Amino acid sequence: LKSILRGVAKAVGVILVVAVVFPLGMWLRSWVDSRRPVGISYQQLTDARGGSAQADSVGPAVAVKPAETFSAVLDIMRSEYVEKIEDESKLSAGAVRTMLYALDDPATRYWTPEQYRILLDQMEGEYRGIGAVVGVVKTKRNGIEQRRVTVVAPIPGGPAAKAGVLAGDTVVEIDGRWVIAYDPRLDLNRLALRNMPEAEYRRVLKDATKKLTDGISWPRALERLVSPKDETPIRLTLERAGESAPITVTVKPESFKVSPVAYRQMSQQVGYLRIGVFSPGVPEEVRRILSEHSDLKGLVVDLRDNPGGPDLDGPQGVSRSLAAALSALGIKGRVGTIVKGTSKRPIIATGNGKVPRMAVLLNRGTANVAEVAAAACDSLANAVTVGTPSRGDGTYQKLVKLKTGAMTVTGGKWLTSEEKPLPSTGLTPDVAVAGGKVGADPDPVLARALAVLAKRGGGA
Amino acid sequence: MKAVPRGYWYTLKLAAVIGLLLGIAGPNLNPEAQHRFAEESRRSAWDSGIETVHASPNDEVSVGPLEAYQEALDVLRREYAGTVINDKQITKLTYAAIQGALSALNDPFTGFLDPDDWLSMQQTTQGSFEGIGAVLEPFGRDVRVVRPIPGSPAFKAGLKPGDIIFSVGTHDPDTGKLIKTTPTLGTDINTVVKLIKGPRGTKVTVTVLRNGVSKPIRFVIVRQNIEPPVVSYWMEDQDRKIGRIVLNEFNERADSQFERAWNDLKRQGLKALIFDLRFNPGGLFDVAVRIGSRFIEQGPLVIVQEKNGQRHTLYASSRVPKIGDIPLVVLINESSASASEIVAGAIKDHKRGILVGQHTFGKGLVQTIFPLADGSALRLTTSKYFTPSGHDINNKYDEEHRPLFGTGGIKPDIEVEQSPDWVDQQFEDKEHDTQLKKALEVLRTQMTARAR
Repeated sequence: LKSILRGVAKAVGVILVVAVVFPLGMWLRSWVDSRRPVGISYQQLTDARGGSAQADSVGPAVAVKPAETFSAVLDIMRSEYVEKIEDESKLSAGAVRTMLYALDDPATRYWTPEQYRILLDQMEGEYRGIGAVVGVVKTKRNGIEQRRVTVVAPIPGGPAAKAGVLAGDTVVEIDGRWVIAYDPRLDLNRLALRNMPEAEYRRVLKDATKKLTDGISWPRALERLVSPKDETPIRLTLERAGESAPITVTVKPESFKVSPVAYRQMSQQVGYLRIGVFSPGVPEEVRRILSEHSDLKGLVVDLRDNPGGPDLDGPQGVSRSLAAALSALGIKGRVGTIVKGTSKRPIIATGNGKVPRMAVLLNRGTANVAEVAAAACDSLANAVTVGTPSRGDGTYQKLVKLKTGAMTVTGGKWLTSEEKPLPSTGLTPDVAVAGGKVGADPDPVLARALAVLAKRGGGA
Repeated sequence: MKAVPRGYWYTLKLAAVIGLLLGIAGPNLNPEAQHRFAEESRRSAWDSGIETVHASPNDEVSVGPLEAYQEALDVLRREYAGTVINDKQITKLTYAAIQGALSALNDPFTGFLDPDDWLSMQQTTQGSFEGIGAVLEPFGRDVRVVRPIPGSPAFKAGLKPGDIIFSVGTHDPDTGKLIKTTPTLGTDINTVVKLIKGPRGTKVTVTVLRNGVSKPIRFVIVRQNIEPPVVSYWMEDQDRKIGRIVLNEFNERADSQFERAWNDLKRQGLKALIFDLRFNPGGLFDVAVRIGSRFIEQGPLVIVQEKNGQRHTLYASSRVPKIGDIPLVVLINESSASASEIVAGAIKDHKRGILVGQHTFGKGLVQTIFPLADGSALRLTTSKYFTPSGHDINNKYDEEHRPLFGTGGIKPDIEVEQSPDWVDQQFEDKEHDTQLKKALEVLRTQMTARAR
C-alpha cells in the first residue's frame, strides 16, 4: 500500500511540476521571441504632417531575410491600412514590375496578362495601337541617365508606318505630354553651373515643372502606344537621328493583322520573300513557298523592320523558329549561338545546302534575332546585304510565363554564326542604300538588291 | 536508488526539465508566433521545387504579392544573365518589390523606407530646426529651402522659399574666418544639413541660387537654437477690437498658448476674431480636436476613417472652454494642411465663421511609421479625415500618383488671391496682405450689421 501511495504521490508530483514548469517554459520562449525582433516591432509614431514623423530611437538593425521584411510589411498593411484592400493582384503586379525595374535593364520587365496577350499576338503578326514594336532604351545625355521610349520597328502597312514613323525614332511627347525620361529638374543643376541668364533659368524651371506635372511615365506611354483604350488619333513628337528639330506626326490606332511571311515573284527566276517576324508558323510557310518555286536562281529576303523578339520557353521559341526557317531556305550549319555566362547553346540549321543566290534587305528596324538571321545568311549562304545598318541588339531575351502575367528576362547574348558578338552599331550592309520601305513602290533598296543579284548571275 | 526521497526528487527534477523543454520546444500557442510559423512553412514549400509554367495566355492564376515576388525572383535566379543575383542584390530587389506593391495602393504618402532612407529621415527631421532656422528638402539632386522659420537667423538674413543651396562655407569657430567652401549641388540632404548645423553663435556662409536671379547669393549667418513660436496674437483693429491669432503649427504647446492668447485678447475687450491658419502645415491630431472644440459649441467635429475603412465621428469636446458666438474669420491658403484643414472644415460646415483666402492644400491623411527589424521602416496611411459633412479632405491622385489639387482641401467662402508684394509669412506686413484686408472688411461689415 505504501508503495502504491508512493507511486501516486510521485505521479501527482510529476503532474504538478510539469503543470508549473510548462507555462514557465512557454513564457521563457515567448520572452526570448520578444527579444528577437523577427517580424516587426510596433513603434507607432503618428504625425498629421505625414512627411515628418519622428522616432525616439530605433533598435539596431538585425539580419533578417528580405522576404521576411516583405511579409512583415504585408501583414502590417493588411491590418492597419486605412482602406480595405479588396484586390491584392494589383499589389502583386506592382511588386514584380518595380522589382524588375530595379535591375536597371529595360529588357527585363513584367507584362500584365493583357500586355502578355498583346505581346504574343505581335509575335503572330497581330497588332494593335500604333502598329509598332516599341521599347525602352537606357542612355546617358548631358550626364543624366535617361530611359527613352524608342520605336524598334514600325510594322509595314500599319498606322505608324503609314504616318512616316521610322525605326529608331524616339517618342519624346504623346499628345503634347512629355514622356518622362528623367527628373527634368536635373537640367537646372547643369545650367546652374554655367552663369545662365535670368530669362533662361526661368524658362528652364518653368519648363521642368510643366514636364513633371503634365508628363506621362514611360510604362503608361508604352500602354498608350501599344494598347490604347480607343482609336482616338495620337499625336507623337519624335526625335530622329540626323534631324535637328523634332518631328510631329498623327497616328490613328487600329487593330490589324499582317502575315509574317509574304512572297512575290519578281521575274522568271527571282523571288522576293518577306519575313516580318520569326513566329512559329514561319518555317512551314517558307518551306511551302520554296517547294512551289524550286527553280529559283535568286532570292531577296526582306528582313527590314523585323524586330526579333523574346524566346518563349518550349518548342515554339523564336530561336527554334529561326533555325527551322533558315533550314527551309536550304541553309546548313550553325546559324548562331546563345551564350549565358560560360554556357553556350548553338542553334543549328539542317537545310540541304542548296541555296539560291540571296540578297538580304536590312534597315534600322532589323533587330535582334533578325540580325542573327542576316549574319547567318551572309556567312553560310554568301548572301549580299543591302540597305542601311541594322539596330545592333544582340541580347537574348526569354519570355517566361508567370502565374499572373509574364516577364521577359535578359537570358544571355546572341553570337553570330561566326561566333562573334553583334556589333552595337549594327550590321553594316555590303551595299548601302538609304530610303525605301517594305511594300513601297518604288523601293530603291529592293531595286538595288535585284540589280546586284542580276550581276552575280542570280537572276535573269 | 534505495533512498526514496532521492528517487522522488529525481523524478520530479526530470519532470521539471521535460516540462520546461516541452514548453520551449512544443507548439507555440502565441497567435502571432503561430502565424509566423505558418508563414515559414509556406515559404519553405516554395523553396522546395522550381516550377516552370508553360501555360496558355488565358491561364492566369491570381497570386498574392509575396508569392508573385518569389516566383519572379526564382525566374531571375534561373534565367538572368546580367548582374549576379547575390544577397545584396536580392535585398535591393526585395525593397523594390515592397515599394512596388505599396505603390499599387496609389497613395503617395504610403511607402517603404529602406534603412538608408529611414536613417536620413530621422536625421533631417530632427535637425532641420537647428542651426539657422531653415526647413530644407531634397529638390531633384539638390537641396532647397522649404521656408525659413519666421524670426530665425535664416529668415532675418533673407533666405526665401525655393532657394537652392549652392554652397556652404565653414568658418573657424574661434576667429570666425571662412576656412572652406563646399559646393552642394548634387549633394544629399544629410550632408548639407551637417554642413549647416553647428554650435550656437558660430558663423556659416550659405550661398543659394534663386529663381530669377542670375548669380548665386551669399548669406553669412550666425547660428542659433531655434524654437519657432507657435502662437502669435495681437489686436488687429484697436477701435473695433478685432483680434488676430496666428497659429503656426498644431504641436504640444499650441492649445495652451492659444488659450493664453485668447484670454489676453478677451481682457483687452475682444469683439471679433481673425484666426490665421495660413502656412500652418498641421501637426498633432489631438491638438486639432482640442482647438477645434473651442470653436464648435457641440456636434460632429471630424469623421475619422481608420483601418480597413471603418469610420467613426468625433464630436466637439464639451470640456473645452468655448470661444462663444463672436464674429469669426479663418484665414487659409494653399499651405494650410492637415490639422488646419480639419479645424477650418469643421468651422465651415457648422457655419461658425467665414473662411477667407485660398483653397487649402488637401492633405487629410495620417501616416504611421512602423520600424522594421532590419532597420527599414514602413510608412503607412492609417487614418483619413472627412469634414463633418463628409467631404474628403485629401486630394485625389492621377494615374501617375500626382495630387489633383482642388479635389480635396477646404474651399474658402470668400476666395482671395494674395498680393504678389506680400512676402510669404510676413504676418506683420498688413499693408500688402490682401487676404487680411478682406478678413477685416468682412468682420467690420458683420459687426455693423449686428449692431443695427
